[in-house]
Amino acid sequence: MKVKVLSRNPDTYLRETKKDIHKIPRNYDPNLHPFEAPREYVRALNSIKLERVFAKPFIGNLDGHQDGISCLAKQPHALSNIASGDYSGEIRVWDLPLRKCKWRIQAHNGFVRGLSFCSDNSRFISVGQDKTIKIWSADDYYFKAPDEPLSVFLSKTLINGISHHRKETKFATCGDACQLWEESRTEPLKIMEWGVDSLQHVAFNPVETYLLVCCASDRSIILYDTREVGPIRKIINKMRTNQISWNPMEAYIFSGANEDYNAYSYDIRNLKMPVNIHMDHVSAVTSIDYAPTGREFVTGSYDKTIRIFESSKGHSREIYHTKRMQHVTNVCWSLDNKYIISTSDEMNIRLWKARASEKLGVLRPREKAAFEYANSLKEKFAHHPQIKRIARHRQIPRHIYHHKQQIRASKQKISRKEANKRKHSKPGSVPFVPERKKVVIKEDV
Amino acid sequence: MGRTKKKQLISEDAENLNDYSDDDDSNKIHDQLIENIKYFHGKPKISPATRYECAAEVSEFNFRSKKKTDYNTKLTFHEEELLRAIRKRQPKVAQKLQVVKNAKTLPKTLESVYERKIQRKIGYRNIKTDLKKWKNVIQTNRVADQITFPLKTNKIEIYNHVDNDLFSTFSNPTPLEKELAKVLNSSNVAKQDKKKKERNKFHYMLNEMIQKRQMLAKLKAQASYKIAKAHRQNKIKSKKYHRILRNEKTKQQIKDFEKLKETDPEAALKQLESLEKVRAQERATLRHRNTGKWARNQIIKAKYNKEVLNSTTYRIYNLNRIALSEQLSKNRELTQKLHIDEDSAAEESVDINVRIKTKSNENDLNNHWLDGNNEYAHFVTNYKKFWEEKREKECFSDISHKTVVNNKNEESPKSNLKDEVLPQDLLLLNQEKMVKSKKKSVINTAKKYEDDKIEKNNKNIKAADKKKKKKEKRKTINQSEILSEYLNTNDVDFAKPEKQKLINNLATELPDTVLADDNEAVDDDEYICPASVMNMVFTDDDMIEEFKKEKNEIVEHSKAQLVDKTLPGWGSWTGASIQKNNNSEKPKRSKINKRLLYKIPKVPPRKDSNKGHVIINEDKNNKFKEHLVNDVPFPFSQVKDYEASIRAPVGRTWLPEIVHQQFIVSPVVTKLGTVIEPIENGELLKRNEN
Repeated sequence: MKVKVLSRNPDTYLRETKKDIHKIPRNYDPNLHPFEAPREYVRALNSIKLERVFAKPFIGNLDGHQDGISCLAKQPHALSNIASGDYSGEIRVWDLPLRKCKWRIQAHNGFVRGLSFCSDNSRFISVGQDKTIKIWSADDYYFKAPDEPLSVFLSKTLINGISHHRKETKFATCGDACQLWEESRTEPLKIMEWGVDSLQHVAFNPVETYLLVCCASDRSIILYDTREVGPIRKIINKMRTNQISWNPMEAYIFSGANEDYNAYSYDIRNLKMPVNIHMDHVSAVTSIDYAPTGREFVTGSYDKTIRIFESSKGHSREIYHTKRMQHVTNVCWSLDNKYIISTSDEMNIRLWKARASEKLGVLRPREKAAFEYANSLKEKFAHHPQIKRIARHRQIPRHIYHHKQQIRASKQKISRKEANKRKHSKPGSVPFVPERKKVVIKEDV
Repeated sequence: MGRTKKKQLISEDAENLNDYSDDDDSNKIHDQLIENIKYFHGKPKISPATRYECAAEVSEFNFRSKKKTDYNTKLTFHEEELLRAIRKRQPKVAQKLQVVKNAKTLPKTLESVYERKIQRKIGYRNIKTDLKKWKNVIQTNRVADQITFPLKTNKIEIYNHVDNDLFSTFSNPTPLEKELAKVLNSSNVAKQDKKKKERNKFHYMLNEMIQKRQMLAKLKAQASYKIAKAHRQNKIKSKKYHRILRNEKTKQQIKDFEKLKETDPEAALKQLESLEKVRAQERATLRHRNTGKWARNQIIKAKYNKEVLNSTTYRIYNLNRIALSEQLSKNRELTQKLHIDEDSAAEESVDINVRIKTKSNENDLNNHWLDGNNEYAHFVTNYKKFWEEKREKECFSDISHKTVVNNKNEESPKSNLKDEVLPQDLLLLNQEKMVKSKKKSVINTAKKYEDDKIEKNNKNIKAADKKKKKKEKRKTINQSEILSEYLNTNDVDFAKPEKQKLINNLATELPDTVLADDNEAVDDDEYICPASVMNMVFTDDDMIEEFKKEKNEIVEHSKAQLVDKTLPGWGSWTGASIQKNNNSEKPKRSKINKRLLYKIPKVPPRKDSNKGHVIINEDKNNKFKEHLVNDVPFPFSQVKDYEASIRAPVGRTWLPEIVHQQFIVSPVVTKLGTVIEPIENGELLKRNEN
């Protein structure tokens, strides 16, 4: 009798070693896998829904300040520490992984106007209402007991802000004039003036480190070259710019948080008009910070919300808010592109995820692949109305909802009126002026 | 008061003069006098401050005014004298002095406001030019498919030897170590090593050079082989060889086309069209007058037929010869412009027929798509058939059926000849497919027809002649009218109207070459212009009826149906596969059924109920609508492109793993817990290196 037995070559299904990849026989015949697009559409729909389900951006809260927080600083080369100063003049240094206050000191009389870490993370400098500049050590052993500052400079005039050079031991302050200081000298190296009484905020360019930008109370933004010339260009906007942040990946782009509810991105090679207008806030934008990738930035506003914008897009991709968060005074994007830190009037520092539904921690390869696939599907079907709707859907506070409607109505009114004017006047006499060209009123040489 | 004072002063002076007449005092007195005199002209101006000691501060108030005082004039006088003396004694110094004297004063400096403005302008310009270096880097980073942070830049770090940690780990060699090193270095082995290294340096270069040369030589040789091969192939005279080559080529092309058909049917159709266009253009050149297959066949047939002179074959032979000569003459004519007269219309119509016929029959040797390649031609026609069939299937099928029925009814009493010819004309209504399928029968009928005509010289002959004429002119006549004519062939004399039609058509007619590539159509007269087919379709009245019928169906279908809600009663089986048995107990059940029938409430009339020419689809599913994209999103400009992008899957269900991985790369990659530093100048350098 002949017995027939099924026999297979083990090479086709056995791995040579344990670490080898599993052999998965697949048949890619399209007839066996029909309805590619509809199936992928359903997957995209599911993943976008899950994204909204898992969107829980709030991580934690650092409380301890006795007064509203006025300034915030992150370390330029490290992730774990941040420093914050409040309206009562207290400075606190926080350990982010532990979410604890490491160190605190009553640093100034009156409120702390500005804080900035030095280029090597070892010190930080604070400026206060009392016209003093104080340099503090940021070493861990030093934090164990409160101590005196390393050095104190007295300034002749009030100082509103500070920004440290990225590579050297220089820093710039702004107040009546923009002053350039060296850490070892008690007098400013350079005083750069251009006819303004008060400068609000100063920011060193992180890439081309000789460039400096200030925003002033006369609605102007002034560009400085710290090497020789001093001030080089000034633009005057419709309304005041509150804070400025440089794009860390694009040397000539900076964005400003403006009082007129918008953020504006400028290209310093062409300051006649902003490169982009980022609207969505319903009150003055008070603070702004770029993500270290330069692709996005975060803004905090007087309307008690934080928004995340893609730097090339006009509208925000995300809005964060909590019931208890008041006017946002400062925002900052952590240097690993994962977290956002915000401070607000009601004495709290809040930690957020930069991407609301992202899973924190280490991802296993299959998890990672699944997320990547989901993301690519979301991108692929992004223009489908249902997916767009779900992706855009946010629960927002009532006051913001109403404000938004008001703003929309007023904008419509203006555009309607302009259209009417155009309709009833000689053709060409009422030209169409794009929104971007209305922002900068004057460019001073 | 003032005057009296002055007078007093003068008088005093005069006294003083008298008092002190000494030489020493005279100067003093003189000066005082002068000073006093000054008071005549009002108060003296503030005298320039004289400097006695050098001061650290140089104030602008300490400079003198430029006005020449007496003192200065005196000085210049002295100066002049001095200069004169110098000129005489020291000419070189004098020259230098002259230069100094001639030097012009610098212009006044700008006011600081304007000066700063200029500085700012220049500063801004410099920065602008400086920042231009970033432009390319930033652009490439912006559009990169994937970018990994932190950026891997070539950091330029200059190590300071003095305080560098890198070297701090090395301690100074001990004296023993130094000694050892000295000995080792002086050894033969070490020396040889050194030499080798030096030699290797050049050797490597040499090797590289040799490799490069070899590569070049290889490339050159390969190129020359190819050239030689092509040369050889071109020189081969064997027709068979070339035929095989050509066949291979066409086969390959067909294969490619098949592939294309599967992947992108629209593109395939387009290619087909383009091929046809090429062919039509080629045809239009009229280069192949008597070299075509048909022409050659004619010649051969004529030759053989001459030898066997039958009554019938002789006629054919004549036909062959006439056709050929006509074609040749037509060629000449066609190269000139057409002049249409009503008188010559009939003749021309014949000519044109011939022309078209020849065209359809000719075979072009130069066109590799067509020459004797039946396989390809078959394929092309079949494919085209398939497409057109699909498109017009619905409207055609019924019409043709009807006409067939009509024709049969009308012509049943007619002769055999009519019956045989009939299907040919019916073909006009159908697609090319039908033409092809019935081609052979058509050929037969044509032959039979010829025979019959000779046999029957009586009554039928007249009709047959007309029939033939009509056949010849078919291409130029509107087909729909042929149909109508055909239905009453017996009694109506249609010679005249045909002529008129011909005249009308000639003006607009173009040689249609769409079908000409099928080689089977060599012998028969079947040639259908698709444009005319379309014409016929839309002039047909049956379309309207068809539409009405369709609409009625839809309306019927959409009407509310009665729903039977009866449940199986006692003793009746029920289940999934069991059908209701209505036959038994029919009268009994009917009563109950009426009660249990669910009557659907009256629905409002259909939207298209009073619109005869429209069907409005009322059961459209709006649930789909909310999932559909309204506009073509930004990067896409055409709906087709966007659809294609959506259709292409990215999942691993449909794609191999590697492709899938490539499709799902995330645009920004960051590393957990790593600080992303701002972009560095090294990034610029990296680009430059690349």
